[in-house]
Amino acid sequence: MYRVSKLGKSYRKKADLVLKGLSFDVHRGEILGILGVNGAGKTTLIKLLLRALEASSGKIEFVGDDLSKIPLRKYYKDVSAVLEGNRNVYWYLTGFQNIEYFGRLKQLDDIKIAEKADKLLKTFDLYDARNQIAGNYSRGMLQKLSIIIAMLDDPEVLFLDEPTLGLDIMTKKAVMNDLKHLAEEKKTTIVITSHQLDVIDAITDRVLVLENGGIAYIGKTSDFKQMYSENKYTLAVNGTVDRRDIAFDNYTIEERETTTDITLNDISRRDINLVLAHMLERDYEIVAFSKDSSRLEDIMEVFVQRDRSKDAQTFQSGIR
Amino acid sequence: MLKLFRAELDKYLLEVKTYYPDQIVDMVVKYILFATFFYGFVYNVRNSTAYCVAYMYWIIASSIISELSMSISFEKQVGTIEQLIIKPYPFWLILTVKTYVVLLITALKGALLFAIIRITLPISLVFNINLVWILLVSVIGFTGVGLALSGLTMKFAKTASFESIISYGLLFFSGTIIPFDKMPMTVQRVLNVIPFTAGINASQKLLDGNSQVLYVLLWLLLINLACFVIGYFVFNAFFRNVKTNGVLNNY
Repeated sequence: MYRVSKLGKSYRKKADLVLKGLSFDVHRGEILGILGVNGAGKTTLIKLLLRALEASSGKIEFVGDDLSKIPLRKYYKDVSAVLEGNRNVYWYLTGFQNIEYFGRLKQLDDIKIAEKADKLLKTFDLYDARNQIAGNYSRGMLQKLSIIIAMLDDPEVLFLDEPTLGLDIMTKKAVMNDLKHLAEEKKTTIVITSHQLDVIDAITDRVLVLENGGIAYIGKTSDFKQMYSENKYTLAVNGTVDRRDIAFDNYTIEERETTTDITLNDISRRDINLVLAHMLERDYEIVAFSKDSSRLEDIMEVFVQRDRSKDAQTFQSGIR
Repeated sequence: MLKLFRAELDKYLLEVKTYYPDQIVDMVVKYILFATFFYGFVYNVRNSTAYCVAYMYWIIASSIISELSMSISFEKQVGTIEQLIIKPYPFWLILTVKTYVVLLITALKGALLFAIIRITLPISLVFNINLVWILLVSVIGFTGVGLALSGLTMKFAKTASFESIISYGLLFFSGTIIPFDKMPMTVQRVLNVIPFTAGINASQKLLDGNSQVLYVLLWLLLINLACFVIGYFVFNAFFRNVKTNGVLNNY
């Protein structure tokens, strides 16, 4: 869908580059998550792909054509976006009036707008509030309304900058399901940024991790989790545990009310099997067992800390 | 295009409904200004119609010029500007249609204002259809000035003071306060190529019966189109600049 080559962006001529020579592809119908710490350039990258910003260098191709040469009136029929914060709707209009206004700007017919709005308002549990002024909406409701507006014309590409911020659990799940459905059934390409890594973890096919203006990783989300796994396992055992029964040296233990959590650090697959067998032989009841790579949040923490420790080392060597 | 016009008309009517006290205040202020100048400068005025035409021009020109940049300022403030630029309609066209919708409502308000003026003030007005054509041609030029100013607002966010200078400058040169023929000759020559004053001047000559309509309209069309083209390019230059520097959302 997109082919990005050596994309660079700086905001002032002599300032540092926010993005330095990024090259990557975005495939049709995939959900690509963009990750990175605050200020890594996630929003800048989305705005460059949206052509809301002009690149300083490099090239973006959209379906084989140079994006900078595609007429905007044509390009913006194919793409939609929910941008960061409550910056997508007018507060003095009702939910439906906002949908109608932005739908008309997307050149949709009123009948189609009404049909799609009805369906989406019900899906997002906003139907009863459709005639309320958006200024009276909660943050979550505003976010839902922004997503409805972005989905109104079944875009080919959907850019979502922190779309689930402020949503309750049920709505978040509904949004996640809808996005997956869009990508799978309608082959909508979705590019998403979120600090809620459970969202990225649950719906993305691939992630692009930005670091110091460059790409630190791009590939399958599952491979990323595996790559930065510290081979850390956590066991939750019913009752208390005799330390002599843990057949491994590098561990931490935390006793809770009814269970004991054991974290085994940097352990091989062979050793973890031995530890488990040893405990089961001694009749311990294991109530939970997980590896750090099962959660993207843990992996990102390792990833960011790896970066910081690298910085600290560089700083130390600089002092010497 | 019709969808865009309907979208903006419906939205603006809802805005007027929501913030209706603003509209009332606006009409009251314009009535007071009119009455003040009318009585204060009545000896300088050749006839009431000419005075009213100049005043109407000022209302329309300042409305178009300020509305275009105020729209940008408002969209930047509430943060919806980026949603507008990622729509299939060109951004300048959305702004222009938005402004013409405001102009339409302003013209209705203007008509109401003159109805009130006729009832409450000792004034007699003469209607000439050619004045309408001159005004419509002048709107093209006003739009160009408005686009240039809104480009400036895109970059610098708040340009209210700049708008005030333009708006009151236009009032001064509208002939409402000092008739054109009493201004210095050099100033008169310059004013004759500025769409706003050229339109008023042409209207007054037409009312005096010493001007050929076709010639006047062609000259006005030429300078107004030139003004629009300049405004359009200035707007797009600023638009490219803010997209390069990433300041579109700054307020």
